[in-house]
Amino acid sequence: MKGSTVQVRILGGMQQTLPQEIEHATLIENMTLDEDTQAFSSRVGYERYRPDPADQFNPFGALGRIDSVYVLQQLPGGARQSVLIEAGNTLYLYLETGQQNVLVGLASRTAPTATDTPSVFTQWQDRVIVTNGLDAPIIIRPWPLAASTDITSAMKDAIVRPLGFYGPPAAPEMLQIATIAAVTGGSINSSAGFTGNSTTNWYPVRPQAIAYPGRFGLGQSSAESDNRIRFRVSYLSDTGSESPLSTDSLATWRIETNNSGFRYAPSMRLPLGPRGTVARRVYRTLNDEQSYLFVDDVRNNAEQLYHTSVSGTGATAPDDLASVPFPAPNARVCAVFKDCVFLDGGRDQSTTIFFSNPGRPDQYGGLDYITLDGRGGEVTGLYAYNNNLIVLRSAGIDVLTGAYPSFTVQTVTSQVACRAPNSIDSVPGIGVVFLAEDGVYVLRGGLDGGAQFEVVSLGVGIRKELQRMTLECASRAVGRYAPLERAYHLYLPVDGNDRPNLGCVFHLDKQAWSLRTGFPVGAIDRLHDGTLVFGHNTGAEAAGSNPPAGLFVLSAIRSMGGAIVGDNYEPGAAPVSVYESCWHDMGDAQVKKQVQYVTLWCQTRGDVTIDFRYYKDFENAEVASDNRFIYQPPDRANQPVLGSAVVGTDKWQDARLVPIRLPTALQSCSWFKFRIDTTDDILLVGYEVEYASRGSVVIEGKQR
Amino acid sequence: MSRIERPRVEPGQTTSATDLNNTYDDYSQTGALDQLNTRDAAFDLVHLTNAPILIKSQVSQLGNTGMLHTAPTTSFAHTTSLGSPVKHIVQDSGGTQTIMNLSSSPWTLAVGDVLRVFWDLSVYPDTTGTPWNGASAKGRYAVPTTGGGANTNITDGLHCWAAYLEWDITSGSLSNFAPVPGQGTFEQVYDSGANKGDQVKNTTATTLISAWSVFGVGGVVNNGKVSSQGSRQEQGWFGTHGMYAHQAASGTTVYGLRLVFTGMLHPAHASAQSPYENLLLYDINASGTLTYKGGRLTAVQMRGD
Amino acid sequence: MKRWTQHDARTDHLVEADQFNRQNRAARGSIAGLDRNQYPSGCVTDAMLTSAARHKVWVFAPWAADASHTHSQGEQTAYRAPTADTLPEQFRALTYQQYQPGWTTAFEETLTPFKGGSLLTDWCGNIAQQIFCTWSANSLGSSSPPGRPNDRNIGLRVLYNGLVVCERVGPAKPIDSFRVTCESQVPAGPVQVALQFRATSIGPDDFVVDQGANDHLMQAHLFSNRAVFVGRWR
Repeated sequence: MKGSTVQVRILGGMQQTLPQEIEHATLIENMTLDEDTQAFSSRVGYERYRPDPADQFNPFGALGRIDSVYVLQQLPGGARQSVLIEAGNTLYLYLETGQQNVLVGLASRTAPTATDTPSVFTQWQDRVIVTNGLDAPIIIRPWPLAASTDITSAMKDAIVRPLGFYGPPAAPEMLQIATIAAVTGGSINSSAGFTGNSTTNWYPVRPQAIAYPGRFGLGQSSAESDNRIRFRVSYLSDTGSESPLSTDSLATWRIETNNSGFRYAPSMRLPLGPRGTVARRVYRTLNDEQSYLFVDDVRNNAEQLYHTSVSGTGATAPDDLASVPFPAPNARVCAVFKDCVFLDGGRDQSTTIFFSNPGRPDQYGGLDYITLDGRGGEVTGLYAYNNNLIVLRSAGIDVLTGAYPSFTVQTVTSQVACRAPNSIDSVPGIGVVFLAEDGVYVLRGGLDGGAQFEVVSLGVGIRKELQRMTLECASRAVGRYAPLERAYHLYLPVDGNDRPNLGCVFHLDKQAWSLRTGFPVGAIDRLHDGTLVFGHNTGAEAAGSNPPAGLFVLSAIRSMGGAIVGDNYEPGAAPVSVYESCWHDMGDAQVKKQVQYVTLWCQTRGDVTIDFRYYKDFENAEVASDNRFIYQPPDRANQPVLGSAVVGTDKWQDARLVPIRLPTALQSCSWFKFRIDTTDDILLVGYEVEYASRGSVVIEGKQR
Repeated sequence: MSRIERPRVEPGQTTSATDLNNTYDDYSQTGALDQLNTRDAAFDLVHLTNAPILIKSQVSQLGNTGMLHTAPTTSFAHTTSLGSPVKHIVQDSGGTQTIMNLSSSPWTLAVGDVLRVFWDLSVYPDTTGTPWNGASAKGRYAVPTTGGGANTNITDGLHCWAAYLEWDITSGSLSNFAPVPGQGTFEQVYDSGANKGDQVKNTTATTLISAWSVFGVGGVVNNGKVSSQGSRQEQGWFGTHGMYAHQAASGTTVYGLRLVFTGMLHPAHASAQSPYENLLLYDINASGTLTYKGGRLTAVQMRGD
Repeated sequence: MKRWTQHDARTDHLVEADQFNRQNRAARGSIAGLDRNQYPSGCVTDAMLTSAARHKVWVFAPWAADASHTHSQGEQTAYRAPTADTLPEQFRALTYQQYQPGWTTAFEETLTPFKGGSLLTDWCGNIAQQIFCTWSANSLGSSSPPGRPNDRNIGLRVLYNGLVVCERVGPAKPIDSFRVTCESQVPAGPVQVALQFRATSIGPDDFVVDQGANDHLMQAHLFSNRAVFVGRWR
């Protein structure tokens, strides 16, 4: 009888709901999209970040599970790229500059439990802020650094420090002013009258005595005048932020009878600031007044003795609410938006968001916070997007808009719960993608020009896989958009596992999902060129000697990491890539059909081994399998392949789109599915299923 | 942590009793569950009430009761012979020692437990004459004299009384008091017996009380010279206090605590022998009395972590 | 966390892998994150608390300036005059020949682990200082008594991570004891505590050498120091 054909010319992604659309697949595993043809390619794998075979897994060999990875870009084009890793209880900088290959421990951090959120990293200019809800937030600027053997504790103190000021400076210690003793006639004995902790620094006032009268020295100079001038100091940090002002110190002196014409220069000892302080700022009042005015910046954090010689003053000092002690020492998440650093209040104030002064990540005003509506639950993520700051919460999503100091918040949805702040990333043309408790969602839109925010479920096609998620450990899921692959990668713990063991990849060009298995992703980030780098999710915790540990990259290598054999590293085997078509019913599942051929439209790949199996009627056991066929042009001469091509004779080839016709021998079926498994390269563009049907239908239902 | 690593059951796998039993056995790993299986913030401190940080505390009277610096008070005099330095146990005016008696329920310090002891006392050091100017008194040095001529010997004024802590960790009979760890008895001999005292590093539980304040008031000190040996300014009654802490490195049972006075002492250092440590030595040529009223001795036993 | 039934197996129903997996997964997930409502009463006892779970006490009694100063425990060693310059009946300590006025760190330590919360400091010790020249006649000859005060005191202060927590004018007697107690909230992370003192700097009439032996005179000292730090986490 005449056969019929079901054609799928362009493959779609996974769809696990029933019934399936014919272009979709039941399972696409360990495949990526070929950038030239948009076909599914099996060229995936991962390799060590540092590829020296004699280096084993150094310097990561002793690390267990890597909880966080962050790649900090400090110059355009990746010229100054720093990789930060958290493992165990330590935050490391992977120092690979100057031909080094070492881990430098920067700070002790509390390791997250399996159910905790790992650290969140936020870039500020060429620095990164690290928050984890347990330790105080720190700010790191890992440049410049010497060779690892020369890095001292003082150097580490200079590149890692707590964010913010935890208190005001101590009041400056005023030295007493010992005024010149009155002498009638004769010479002035300037050494008389002082005691310990005092100075006698004076300037004459009369024009006959000094070139610039009135410019130097403070206070009244007439006899029997009392002088009272108060001083306060603040610290300036290396980000330009100003600390809260200290309490005041009083300099007071009295000009004695018969002793006019002297103005004095009060001296004080300035307090030394905490790490990151680059200057101390001095303010003072005018004589017997209350308002403080700028005097001077002492541009270091070393000198203590300061003499107020010059009488001029500058702008009014900021008020006491302009800078307060750091309000979010337990912040879990952080973001930069409209030039301000935003932090949540941590477990103590989980529905409050604090924000810094614009351009000053260490400076927080006393009124610079927003308390969110309690119904949305605690803040679980912050993400700057378009003209808004997305506030992801444990029972909803809010957006924050405005500009400093007038930010406002409104609720977008109360039904979506993001629990994994490290899964949030922006995907071009889609929006902000994140993992929620019940699947993957995308937030898109805006609030400007009449636009609206909408939250749309993105993970419908793989919902069955996402339901396998270990909910308790959802906070350990990680996700990143890979520009190189034009795909969003999400790795999450499933089947009760406490660490990510399943990857879900959303291919932007196909708007389709595929899966990745066997990729031990603990934490992930991207390098400057768009490559995804990840930290191993087990490391030295695994049994055996020299288990894989450390940093790896997702690449087109045809191996899954590797192992130490003898003393050297050997790459592992290629992953098994799978394409399982949807269950075809050819229009009516009740009608029995006989499938005769499956034709795969592929780009030629050479003498590769591809296992072809086919199934009927939702049975798990395959009807038959076949791996006889090579993926060469069926009716032309074979193209030369590596291992047998002769240099000088054979020519370079271009892959050709060819039909590979595979016979099937199954009797009648209502539903038909095929599957290909391979560890070799395949580029699958589409397929056809040829079948015939006599028109017979299924028998009536089975009785007890 | 008890990590269960077992793949899920796949459609098409044989339903095997062995597989099922292995899966269930995953949940019965003896002793495998540990703190890492507990989710973050699963417990609050209020859930753990049987091991408070503070284990025991006690307050005892020292010396005499009452707030006024009038009788009853207790007095004792300085050491007059190096052979028998004064060891005055704080007591009331009737001679009854005021100690912290824990013998009815001794405190057992486990390894890591911390014993913290605080004390305060109101004291009045007194003397007659100017014993600090005696030719044999310690602490004198020569300075120029106003108007020229021979130098004047003045005092550094650093004579003092000492109160230090002792404990009894032997038995409830309270007959084996000894200084607490880090504290000496001021019975080390120096300079071939010419001096007695202790190294300053052994004064971890000592409170020093100034015997007198002597300085050149008025116009005595002028331009780096003195016109007299200065004068004593009455210090009157004042409060003094001390604190001591000990972290047990092995199990210890404390039966009693007491405060012991001695004096008069004066700073010195071992100038003849390396490492030239700083010392406090008895000065039997400096006379005085110390009168005290009363105060409190407080002790606390707490967990170290 | 506590999970309820995901699949209820029933006789005559399909031996379905997915349903078995759902129930098993929920149980395995629970094992990964047991919550407060899953533990039986009294199961987690205080004896199971790991070290420094709720608090930690650090005791330094005596407190040595550093490990090399085994003969000067409890003493400040920032200023320690050599014996050749010191009278036998004085401490080797701070002299004006050495002293650079200002706050001097006597003891410094990094406390770890500190998990965020209250940090209490209890610091006790003794001081000695020369007070003979606390009245200087070298000015104001018209006042009665002539001269001006040249006050002596040993200032004391405590810093956490470089921030001053408390400061005292300090004792003024020639020999005295002191006790400084303070507390502050400190965020999680190693805490660098510093105990500092400040002796009064030299006045115009102060004696700095003994005219007999020409030794440098001790001006101030800090000794018998002991300190307790108690951290209690939030």
